Amino acid sequence: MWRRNIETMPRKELEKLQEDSLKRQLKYVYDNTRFYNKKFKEAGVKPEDFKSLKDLERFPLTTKQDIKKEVTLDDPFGGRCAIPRDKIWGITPPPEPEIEEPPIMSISTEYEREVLVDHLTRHLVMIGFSSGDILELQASQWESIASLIEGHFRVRRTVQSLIPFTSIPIENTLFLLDAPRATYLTKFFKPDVIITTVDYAKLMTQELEKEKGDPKTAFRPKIVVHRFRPGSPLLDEKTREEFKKTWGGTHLSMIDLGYGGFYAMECLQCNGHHAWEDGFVVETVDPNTGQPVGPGEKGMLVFTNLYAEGTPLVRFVTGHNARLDTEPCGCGRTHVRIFLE
Amino acid sequence: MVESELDKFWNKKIETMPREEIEELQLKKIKAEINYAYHNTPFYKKSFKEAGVTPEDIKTISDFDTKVPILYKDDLRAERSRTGDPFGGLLSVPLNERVKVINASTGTTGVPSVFAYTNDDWMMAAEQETRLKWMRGWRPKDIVFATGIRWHGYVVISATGLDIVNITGISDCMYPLPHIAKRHVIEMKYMKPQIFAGPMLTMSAIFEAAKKMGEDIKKLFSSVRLIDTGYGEIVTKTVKRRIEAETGVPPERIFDFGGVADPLWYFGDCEEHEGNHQCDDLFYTKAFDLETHEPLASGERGEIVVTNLFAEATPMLKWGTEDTGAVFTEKCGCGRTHVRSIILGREAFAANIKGMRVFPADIENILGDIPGFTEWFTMLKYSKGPMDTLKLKMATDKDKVKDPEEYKREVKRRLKEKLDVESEIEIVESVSDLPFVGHKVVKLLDMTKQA
Repeated sequence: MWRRNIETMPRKELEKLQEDSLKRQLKYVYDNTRFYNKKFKEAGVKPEDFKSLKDLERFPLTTKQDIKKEVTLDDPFGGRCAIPRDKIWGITPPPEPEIEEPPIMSISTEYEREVLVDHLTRHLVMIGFSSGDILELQASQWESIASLIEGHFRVRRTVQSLIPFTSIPIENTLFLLDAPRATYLTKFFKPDVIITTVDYAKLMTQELEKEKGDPKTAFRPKIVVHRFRPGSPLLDEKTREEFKKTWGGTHLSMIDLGYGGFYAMECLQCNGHHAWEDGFVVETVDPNTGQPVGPGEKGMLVFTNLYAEGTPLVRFVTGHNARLDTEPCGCGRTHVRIFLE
Repeated sequence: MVESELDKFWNKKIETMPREEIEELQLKKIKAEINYAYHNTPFYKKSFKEAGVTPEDIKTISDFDTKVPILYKDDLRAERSRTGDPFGGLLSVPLNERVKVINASTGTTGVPSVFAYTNDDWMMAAEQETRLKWMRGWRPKDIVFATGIRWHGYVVISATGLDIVNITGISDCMYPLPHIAKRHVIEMKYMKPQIFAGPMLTMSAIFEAAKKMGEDIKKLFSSVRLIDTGYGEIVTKTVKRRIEAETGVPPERIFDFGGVADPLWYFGDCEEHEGNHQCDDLFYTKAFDLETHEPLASGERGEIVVTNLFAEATPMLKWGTEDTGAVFTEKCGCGRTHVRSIILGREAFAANIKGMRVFPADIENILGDIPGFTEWFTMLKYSKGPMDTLKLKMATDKDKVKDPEEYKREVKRRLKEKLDVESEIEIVESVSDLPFVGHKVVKLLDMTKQA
């Protein structure tokens, strides 16, 4: 484990940590963003009303529509920007391949990057990735995951600066020669971990079939992570079985919603996506009433980030149905596991 | 605000170093790099032996120019198909311990060439990048809208450069696809960047998408102080004029940036726009005669050959860029003493019409001032030997071409007049209908190889 004391923290302590962070974060967004100041006032709540985790449900949900309503040409962040210009490290475009006006743009600071790099390092160590390994990361140029995992070593912190590995970057926007390029490089270097998407992996299989190749022997994959991201499907059990048969190796699923730096990944037990609760509060709510559903029941996935400085999200409605499991995982981690439905 | 003399440069001491000192430094580095390559690179061990050279034979720069053979991609391809090693014997460090990034080049022939870089390789490339960015006027706190492709080596170096200078980047995909171009338009409209960085093809797709969305392109670019374009295509005056006509950004604020990804060699022009500056302490650049491979003097036209002076993972000594151009050693008006180069075009992209070589740049010069002409066209090669007619597939600026038939007649008339060739013209619906590889339009499409 990368951070054993955090990853296996008893739930009571974890919840205490979340409470403290939320107190600070709710005050931060109320004081610093026009968007949440207005939203909280309309809902008749103040940051001081939050005393324990149970009180979070009194705070309003944030939907993409709520954000879009506020976005204007003069204020592209819709009143959500909480920092002065010179603290902005990067601006992230919307994660969907096809976007409409108005766009939901996000800002990140150096500190946020470091938190997310820490989260992703935990995820990668969780699936057995170690220094000296080869990682093939297939992502689109606009997605932030790539700049968090790969990148320069001495200039800014990335996963690569924490776990020195060899990276093979691949562009995931489907286009002309890209699948053959990915196939060729994978065939030759046989990466220890491939982070791909279900549809791109299928394309690589087709590419191999053209030359009568077999992924099992050609790629000899150990761990393949299928990233569920806007525009790419979730790795369901049927597809997982198919990939196990055609590719061999271990196939894991990862959630990358593209908003708020929310990443969750399955561990080798394949029993739900691990999210890091020291960084996020994860809830499931009834899509009609907005009320939290009971433990283990299916509901709309909602998250709040506890560390964000640039464009923080409070109770952000992801648009995906999920079940949550807070029992400790077989791997020993105590943080929540998410099952997308 | 007028910048002080010191603020004009990122690394003044090196950028304005007297030429004798630069050359002394280059010789030192060349010797070290040769020594390194000779002892660590399987490919060079072999090629030095074949050429009958040892590192001790290289005592002066002229020894290096004449005794060391020029390295061509084809040499590596041959080596690759012989040994199955995708690096073609260039890899000189242990893969799992030292290599940080593996990049595959565009791969115009289908199988990509593969290069590897270590930590230090990237750091040196980032120094070059930062210097060239600063020279083109990129400053802290700017917001840059930068397009890129993940597998392209430039992307990581560029991002590193942004971090060093403290520039905020909005990164998006470079591919000129309609839905991506729409992303670009929306992002630019809302984020109002000060710098736009992307190849002309991406920009053309943005213009097309903006027109379709009913956006005013001039308004879209109103916040843009600098346009950074080129990225492997030659930025001619025609191109700059067209960009100005569309965006309203004057030619003096349109910068040409390019390079060759494999040796990490990049160049860009300064505010004088008199050739593209390079970093002589990191690269040794010289033009060589196309036929005899003799080194040429400053300003003479030949093939540009580049030596990377710091590479550890895949050393590149005398890398033949296959681009025809010239290298100038005279001091630039901006005060920089490092060499500048101009690039005319790729030898391989010239069409053979009745034994005469027609470069894409020739076509551009002849047709450049017809209203509605764009630099997006493909010459079709339909026979192995000389061809009697020139077949062209062209994309046009539809707003300016009211009558496509009239336009075709004008193109044919001019080609007949200037080149004395008959031509067949096909006008395509949009730029994306032309064949392209990566972000570059294929200038010469070999139809004999198409099924």
